[in-house]
Amino acid sequence: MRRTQASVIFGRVTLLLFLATVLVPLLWVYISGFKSGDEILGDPWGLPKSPSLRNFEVAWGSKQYGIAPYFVNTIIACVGTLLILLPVGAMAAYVFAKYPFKGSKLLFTTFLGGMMFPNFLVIVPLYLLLKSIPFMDQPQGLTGTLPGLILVYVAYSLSFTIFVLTGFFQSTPNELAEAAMLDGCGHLATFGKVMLPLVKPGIVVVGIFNAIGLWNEFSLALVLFNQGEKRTLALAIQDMATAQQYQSDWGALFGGLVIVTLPIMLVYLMFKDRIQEAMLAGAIKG
Amino acid sequence: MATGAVEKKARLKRSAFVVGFLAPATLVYSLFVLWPLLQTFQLGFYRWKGLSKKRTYIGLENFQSLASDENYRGALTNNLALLVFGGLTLVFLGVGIAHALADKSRIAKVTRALYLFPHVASAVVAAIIWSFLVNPSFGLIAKGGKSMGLPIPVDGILATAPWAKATVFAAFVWHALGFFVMLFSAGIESLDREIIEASELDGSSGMNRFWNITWPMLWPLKRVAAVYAVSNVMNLFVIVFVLTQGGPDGATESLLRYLWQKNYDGVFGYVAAMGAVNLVIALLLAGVALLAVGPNPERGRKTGSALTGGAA
Repeated sequence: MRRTQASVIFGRVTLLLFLATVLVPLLWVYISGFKSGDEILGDPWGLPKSPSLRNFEVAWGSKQYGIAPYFVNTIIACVGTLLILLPVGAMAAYVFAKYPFKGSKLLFTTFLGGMMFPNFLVIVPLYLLLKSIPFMDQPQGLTGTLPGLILVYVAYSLSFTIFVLTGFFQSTPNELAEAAMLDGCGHLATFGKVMLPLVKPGIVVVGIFNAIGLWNEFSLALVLFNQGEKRTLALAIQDMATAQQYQSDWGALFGGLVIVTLPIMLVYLMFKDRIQEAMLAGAIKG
Repeated sequence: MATGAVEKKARLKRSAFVVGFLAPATLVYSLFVLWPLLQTFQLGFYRWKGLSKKRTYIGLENFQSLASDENYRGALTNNLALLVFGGLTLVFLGVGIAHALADKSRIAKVTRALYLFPHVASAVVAAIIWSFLVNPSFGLIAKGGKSMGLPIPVDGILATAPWAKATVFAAFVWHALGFFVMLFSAGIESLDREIIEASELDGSSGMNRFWNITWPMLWPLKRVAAVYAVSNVMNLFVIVFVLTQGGPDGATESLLRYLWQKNYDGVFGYVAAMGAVNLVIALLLAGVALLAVGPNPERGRKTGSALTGGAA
C-alpha cells in the first residue's frame, strides 16, 4: 500500500465518525432500556445507576401496552409467508431458469417489475380487494386477518424471491437434470430430489432476507392488518411511541424498542455475509 | 407413428409441468399485485367517495384537481428536494465511506461488521429513534445540544420547520446510508486490481487515483445507486408518518404521507389518481437520474468528462 499518510488518516477519521453516527443512537436506546424513567429524563447521557429489567417486563407483558401478542402475530406472519413463498417462488424460478417457453421472458419481466414500484400506491384497490374476499363470515373479509396479510406478503415478496432463485437455478448444471430424467425421474421428482437440494444456499439467502423485510414491514400492515389486537410488532411499537407521549412511561418505550430490534440484530450478526449477498443480488440486476 | 405419439406425450407432460409450477406464483401475483395496479390507473378517472358503491366517471377531473392541489405540490417539492440533497449525500458519503472501508485497519474491520445495523433495523425503528433523539424532555440531541449551547428551538425541534426538515433528512440518510456503502463496497472490491496497482506503481496519490480511476470505474454501481435513491425517496412514508405527520404546517409532507391522509378523507378516486401520477413521476425520475449519471466512461474517451458527468 502506498497510500499517503494524510489520506490514510482522513479515511480512518471518516470511518470513526461514521461508526459513531451508526452506533451512538443505537447504544443510547439500548442503554436507556435499563434506566428508570427519572434517569431517562434527568440524565439522558448517563449510564444507568442501578440497571433493571423492569422496562422490558412492562413493554413485554403489561396489560395496557404489552407487545407480546404482537410479537406472536409477527412471527406467525413471517413464518406463514415464508412457508408459502419459498416453495411457490422456487417452483416458478425453476421453470424460468430451465424450461424456456414462448413468452417466458415477458412473464419473468412482469414479475421483476414488482421489485421497484412502491406498493403503497395501490393501497386503496388492494384494501377493497381483500375486503371483498369472503373469509369465515367476517364482514371485513380478509382484511384484519393473518391469512389475508400472509397472502399479500407472499405476493409482494415474489419478485425478489423469483429473481434471486432463478439466478441460482441458472447456475446449476443441466447435465444433472438430464441424467435424472434418463434414470426415469419425472419432471417433478427431478426438481424435488435433484435440483432443489442444489440451490439450498439460495433458499437460505432469500429466506433470511425476506424474514428481515417482513419483520420490519410497516405500510401494508398499516392498511391491511391494523385492528385492535390484530396488529404487527412494527405497528404496535409505533403506536406505543405515540401513545406513550401521554402515558410518559418512557422507560417501557425504550425497553420495547430493544425487544423489537434485538431479534433482527442477532440474525444480522449471525448471517451478515448472506444478507449482504442477498441485498446485492437484488440490487445489481442491471 | 409410435415415436410421434411418445414425443407428443412427453411434450404434453412438459407443458403440464410448466403450467403447474408457474400457476401458484402467477395467480397470487396477478391477483394481489397486477390487478390492484391496473385498478389504480382505472379508478383515477372516477369520482368515488367513502363507502358508497356509486362510482361516477369524470374523465380527467381528478388529475386536474391534483395539478392545482397546493398540498400535493408542496409534498412533491419536498420529495424532489430530498432526492437532490439526500441522493447526493447518499452517493457521495456512500462512495467515500466504501473507499475508506477498503482497508485492513481494525477500525475498518469493526465498521464493516456493524454499519448495516440502522438499515436492517428498519425505517420505523429509525424514525422512532430519531423522534427520541430530538425529544425536548430527554433527547440526546435536543437536551444535549442545548447544554452544549446549540440554538435548539424553544417550541421543540419537530415543531419548527427547518429543524423538522433536518430531522427527517437525518433519519432518512441514517437509515439508507448503509445500503449505499454496501453497494459501493462491493463495487470497489470487484474493481480490476491490476489497474489500481499499476496506478500505484505510477506513483499517483490516493486522491488522484480515486478521482481518475476508481470513481469512473464505479459507473455501473452509480446507475444502481441512482435508481435506488429515487426508489427510496419516492417510498418515503414511515419516517414522515412517525416523526412529523407532515408538519409543521406541511413543511415535511411527503407524497405518500399525503396520499395516506387523503385516503382517510375517503376520496378514493382522487387517491388512485395520485397513486398513478406518483408512479409515472417515479419512472420519469429514475430516467432522469440515469441521465445524470451519464454514459459509461469506459466506452469512448477515458476519464476526464466522467468526473463531472458522474454527479448523480
